[in-house]
Amino acid sequence: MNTINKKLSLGQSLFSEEIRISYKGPVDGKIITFLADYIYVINELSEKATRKIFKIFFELAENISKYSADKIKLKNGKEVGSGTIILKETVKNFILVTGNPIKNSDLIPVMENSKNINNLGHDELREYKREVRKDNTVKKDSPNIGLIAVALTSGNPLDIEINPIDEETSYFSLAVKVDK
Amino acid sequence: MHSQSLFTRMTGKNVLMSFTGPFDTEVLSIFGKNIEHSISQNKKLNKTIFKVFIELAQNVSYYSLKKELTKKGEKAGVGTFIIQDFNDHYYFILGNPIDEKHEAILRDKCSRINSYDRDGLRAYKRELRKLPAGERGTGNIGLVQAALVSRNPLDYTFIEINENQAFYIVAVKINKQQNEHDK
Repeated sequence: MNTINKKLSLGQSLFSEEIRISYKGPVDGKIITFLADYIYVINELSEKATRKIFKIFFELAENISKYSADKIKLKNGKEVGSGTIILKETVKNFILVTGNPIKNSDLIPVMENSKNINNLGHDELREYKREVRKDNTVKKDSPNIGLIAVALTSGNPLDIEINPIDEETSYFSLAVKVDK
Repeated sequence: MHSQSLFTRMTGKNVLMSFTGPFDTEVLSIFGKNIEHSISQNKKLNKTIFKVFIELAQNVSYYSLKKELTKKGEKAGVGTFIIQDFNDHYYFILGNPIDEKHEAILRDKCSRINSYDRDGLRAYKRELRKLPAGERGTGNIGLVQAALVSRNPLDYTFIEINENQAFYIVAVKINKQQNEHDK
C-alpha cells in the first residue's frame, strides 16, 4: 500500500481545493468541446464571467494543442499536443491553470511577451496586441497573440512558471484568474 | 502560487492521462478511445488498460457521492482517474467521494477480491452475477473484473473528508511485460 498512500495528499487536495475540472492528455477538438460543455454546465456565475472563462479556456487549450512539445497520435491518425488543463474555484474567483512541455526555441519569445503583458495596463495591452498583430514576423496564430488576449480577457496578470526539462525543452505552466 | 503546487502534483512527469469531473457516457467514450489508441504502441496492453478504465469508471459514474448534471442532462458521478507510466508497469488510479457508511462494505469487497486467486475470482464473479439486479449495484463486479484483467491485486485506501464522507481511492497495476509479446 506504499504507492497508494503517496496519493493521499492528492486525494485530499482534489477534494478540498474545489478542483472543478482537471485534465491531462491529448488536447484535440473533441476534448476541447467536452471540457467546454462541462464548463458551461458548472457555471454558477455571471454571464460575463462565463464568457471570460470560455474565451480564456479556448485560447489556452488551443495553445496546448498546437505548441505542446509532447505530441500524441490519435485514432484518426492526427497528431495533437498533450498537456494539462485545470479549473479551480475559490470563493472570489475561478483559476484556469494549463501546462505543457514546450521547445526552448518557442519559449524565449513567449517569456519576453509575458513580461510585457504583465507590465502593461488594459489600454496599453490593447495597443500592444495591435502592434504584435501588425508585426509581420509574428505568425497570425502565434501563442503570443493568444496570451495577450487571455490577459485582456481576464483583467489579471498571467502567472507563469517555467521548469527546464532538458537542453531542448522546458515545462511551461500558466495560471489565470477570473473574478466571479 | 498555490494552484501551481497542486498542478505539479497532478501532472507529474509520469502521468499520461488524468481527469477530474463528471464520469458521463462522453467521458467513457472519448477517454476510452484515447486510452485504447494512444497510451502505448502495444495494442494488447492498451486494450487491458481500456478494460480496467471502463470497469472502474462506470463505478464512479454510478456510485460517486458527488453528482453533477452534464449538458446532455445526464446525472453523472464526479471522480478522478490518473494513468501513470512506470518502467515496467502502468498504474491506474481512480477516486471518488463516498458515503462514510459504505467504507466498510467497500473495504471488505476489496480485501475479499485480493484474497482470491484467479479461479477464486472467476467463481466470485459468477456468484455476483447470479445476484438479483438490485443487489448487484455496489460496483463489485467491476472491481473483480479489474483484478482479473490486470492480474494484480487492488490497491485501495480511504481518506476521511468529514464524519459523513470519505474519499475512496482504488488503484490497479498493469504489468507491461505480460502484454509485451502481443505487440
